[in-house]
Amino acid sequence: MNKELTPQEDEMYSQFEDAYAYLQHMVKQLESDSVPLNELSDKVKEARKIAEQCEKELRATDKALKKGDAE
Amino acid sequence: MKMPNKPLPLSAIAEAINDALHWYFDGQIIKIEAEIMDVKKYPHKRWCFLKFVEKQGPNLIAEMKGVAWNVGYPAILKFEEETKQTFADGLQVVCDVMVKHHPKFGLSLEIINIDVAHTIGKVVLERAQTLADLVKNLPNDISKVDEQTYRTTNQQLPYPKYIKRIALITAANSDGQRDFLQELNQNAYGYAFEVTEFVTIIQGDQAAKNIVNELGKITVRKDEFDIVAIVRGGGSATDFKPFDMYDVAAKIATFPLPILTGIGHDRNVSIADMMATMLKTPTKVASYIVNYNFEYEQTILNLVERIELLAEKKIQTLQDKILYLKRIINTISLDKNLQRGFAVVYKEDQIITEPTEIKKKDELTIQLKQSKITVTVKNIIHE
Repeated sequence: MNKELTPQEDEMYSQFEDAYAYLQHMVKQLESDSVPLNELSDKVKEARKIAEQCEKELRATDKALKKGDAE
Repeated sequence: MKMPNKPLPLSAIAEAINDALHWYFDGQIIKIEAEIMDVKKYPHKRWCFLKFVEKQGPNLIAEMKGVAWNVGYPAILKFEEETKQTFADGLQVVCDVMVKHHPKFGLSLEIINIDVAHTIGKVVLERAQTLADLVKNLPNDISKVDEQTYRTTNQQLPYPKYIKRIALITAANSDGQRDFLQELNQNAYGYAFEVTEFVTIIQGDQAAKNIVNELGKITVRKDEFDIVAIVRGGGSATDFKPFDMYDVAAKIATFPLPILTGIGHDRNVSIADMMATMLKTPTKVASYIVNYNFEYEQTILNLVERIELLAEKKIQTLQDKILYLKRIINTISLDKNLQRGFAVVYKEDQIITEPTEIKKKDELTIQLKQSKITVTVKNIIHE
């Protein structure tokens, strides 16, 4: 689904219904202070990557997205 | 009256019929109720030709020519303005007419006036009956909230996270189709959509059947679409009649994909509108879809912003803690030095670490183990 996410991120991402649910989960984790310091930067990067992916999905046709996935 | 035995010219018979009609009707205006067919209007001449028919089930039991000249034509215009319906085939009307006979054109009923209230009342009654039937026959899918509001299964369907794949029911080359696609494809945010058009005729006798058929085709392919849009441009109330039909409304109310309607009329609300998500015009349907995606994108961006802020806040909190700990450590080490007999020199509350900062006549504070002394510098010897 998200060719730009790492396999681990992709696996985590796919556990959630969509980007919205996944990002909300991330917010909750941060609010509950359950993210270790050394993972903070990765979390932010991951969130930004998901946002970029959403922006792409909204602006590309399904055909283009499928083509991109296949490449 | 006994007719002569010799052959008569046709004109004599026509004249006799004319006389008989004149004798019978005496130029009276008669009120009739009938369906109108084959309506042909000539607005420039202010004429209208039509047929009045009476049916019993599918059988035609009476048919007469009708005509409106300059006297009756304004009644047609008034009818269209007040009922918002086109004076067109299939309408049941109540009219004031005069029976006319012309030797060449034969018998006709000349329209003098049309009973507008009758038609409006009939339409209102038909709509009320259709709505009542819908609620009665589909109690699990349709419930009445108030006179203008109905809650349907279709309205309760969840929407996808964003809308991309749209099944569009519209008329070919119509204003509605053009307005919808233009608004959608020229959106300010550059969102892309995949629109599959289900083009059909959406006015006239077959329209209701056509709409139901197209919805049927979409049902079979429902996994290929996020939502359905039904759009058409403006028109008279007659043009919107299919959207008041039971079959169309029932199909919409129970349809498995969210349906947005933009069937181009601001003043009236069709029954189809009440069963779906009503957005009035094709342009508004397209705007709604674009805004829906915009809101989704904004929500995502807001969440990312929140994540960034929370991460920053966490780092800042940790940095503050480290700073605090450093201060504590400094204080502890200072105390230890004072215990050993060392002193700390302050100038204006700042610790002096560089003797060159001290000038003659400076007031200094010297902190000892258990006390502070204030002194004035008399002399400085740098070694």
